[in-house]
Amino acid sequence: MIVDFDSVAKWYGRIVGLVDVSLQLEPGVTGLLGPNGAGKSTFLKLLTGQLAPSQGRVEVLGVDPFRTPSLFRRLGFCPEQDAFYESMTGREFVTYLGGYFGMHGSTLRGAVDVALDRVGLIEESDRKIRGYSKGMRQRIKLAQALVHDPELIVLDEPLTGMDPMGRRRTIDLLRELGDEGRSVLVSSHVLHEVEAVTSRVVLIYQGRVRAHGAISEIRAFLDRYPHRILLRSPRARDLARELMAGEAVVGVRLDGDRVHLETRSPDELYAALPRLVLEKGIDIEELASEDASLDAIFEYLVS
Amino acid sequence: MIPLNGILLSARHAARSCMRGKRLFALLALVSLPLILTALSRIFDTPTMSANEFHGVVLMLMFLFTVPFSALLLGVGVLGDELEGRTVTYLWTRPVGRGWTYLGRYLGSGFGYAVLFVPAMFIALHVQTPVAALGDVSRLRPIAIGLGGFFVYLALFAMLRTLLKKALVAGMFYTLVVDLAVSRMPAVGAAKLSVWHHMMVVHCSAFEMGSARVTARLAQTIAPGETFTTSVVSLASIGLGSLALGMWMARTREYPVAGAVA
Repeated sequence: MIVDFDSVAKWYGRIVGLVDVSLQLEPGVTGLLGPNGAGKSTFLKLLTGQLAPSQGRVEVLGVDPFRTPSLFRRLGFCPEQDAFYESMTGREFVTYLGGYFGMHGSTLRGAVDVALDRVGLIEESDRKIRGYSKGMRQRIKLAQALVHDPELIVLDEPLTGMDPMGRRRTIDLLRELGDEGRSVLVSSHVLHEVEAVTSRVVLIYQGRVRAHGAISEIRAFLDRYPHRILLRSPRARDLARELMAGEAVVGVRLDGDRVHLETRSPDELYAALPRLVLEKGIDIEELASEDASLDAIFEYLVS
Repeated sequence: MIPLNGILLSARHAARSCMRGKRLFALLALVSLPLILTALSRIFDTPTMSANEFHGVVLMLMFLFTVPFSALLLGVGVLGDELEGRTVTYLWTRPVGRGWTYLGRYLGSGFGYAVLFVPAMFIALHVQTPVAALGDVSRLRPIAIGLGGFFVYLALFAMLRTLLKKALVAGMFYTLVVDLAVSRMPAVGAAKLSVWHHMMVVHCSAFEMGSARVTARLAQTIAPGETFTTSVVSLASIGLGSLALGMWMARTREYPVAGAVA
């Protein structure tokens, strides 16, 4: 077991950060999912010893992270905030922070090169950080977390602000780290980002762990609830009538030219739409899933 | 075990940050004041003040203004720079205890300042003193006392930042109220709180000359019985006590950076 939270709660004065979280994580790659403000960062700050629990017990790799600095020889942390020593170059930044692990001279230089290479920044490493793009800043944060070759890597929203190439590269790197036998805990508020890295997730919402397990199990659970879909058409009433005639739709609400649908079989509904357009001549100007946001998924889970 | 490597890294980083940007400019302005005053006195050759009296004025400026305000500027940054820059997260997730990191930053800030302060004061004191006295080692004592006082102030103001977000205001209050108003305070023990007062007692006990002797008498009026030894002990107590408390606070207190409240 790499992480053990036992009845952990965290309050900031009257604001609740986490409530009664009991959770054990096994080695491997785990996604930490939740909408913004759900408590993911609090969870990770407790896990990396930046905060102490108001109640309960936190253990990471068998020790209390708040009181055991030596833990960080085995743990690398990539924080969420966009904060740097801006006057340093990327290489200086990683070298400075890598120096705290007791590495010197050629050992440190070698470790820095490996970390920069892994995040694809070796060629840009001698530029000042203040001139880096958002994606490069994310990657240099990742490099400082990898420089000492840790066995557990904790990443707080590492894909935020990355361009598609950087995102692809980082997702590949996280998979690679998992394949090497390292444990990785990566937080995100975007389901498909986490899905691309791992199939094992912890869902946090409103300061509580709502689900913990394989994404497929969570998806199956969610399929018990109707999916909400929005359609916009100049013939909204006709569209609603036609859709209600089929078996896929379980609920309809009209709002001007918008039709809000509830369906238990979205695939069947999506297959029926082209037929309506072609055979009945009903134009559809907009189609959107109202469940796309993680907030909606969590609302289902809570309900 | 003391993590010397981590302390040295923190110290080097803090010392370098003294030598950069607006902070360097502000520190240079502060340490230049006595030098500028001395240079002006040489240029205009003030007939109303003897050399010894003028020496006292320069020392007063150094002890009462340059040293505490420089320490305030750097002290609140020992922890505050990392907190406000939100880079503290990186330091707190290294295998070096937070207290040791804090100690390293404290020492680095002090060393960085010494590099500016010592040469500037050396020049200021010797520009106004006849060249023949340059070899007099005792002339270095005020600089040593100023530097010692600086480290005490630095520990005090750095510790304030571990307790308060508005440490700059609290430090300003201390400097302006406790230090400057000390001679107006009631006699009973009030001056013991003032770093400046102890610096003056140490200085005046070591030197018997001009305005310094007057200040020594004044010091005795405020805090009867204060001697060189008691003031050195008081300075050491304030400095080491503040440093130990600051290290303990850094180790045990949470400093959530922005975004922590989720």
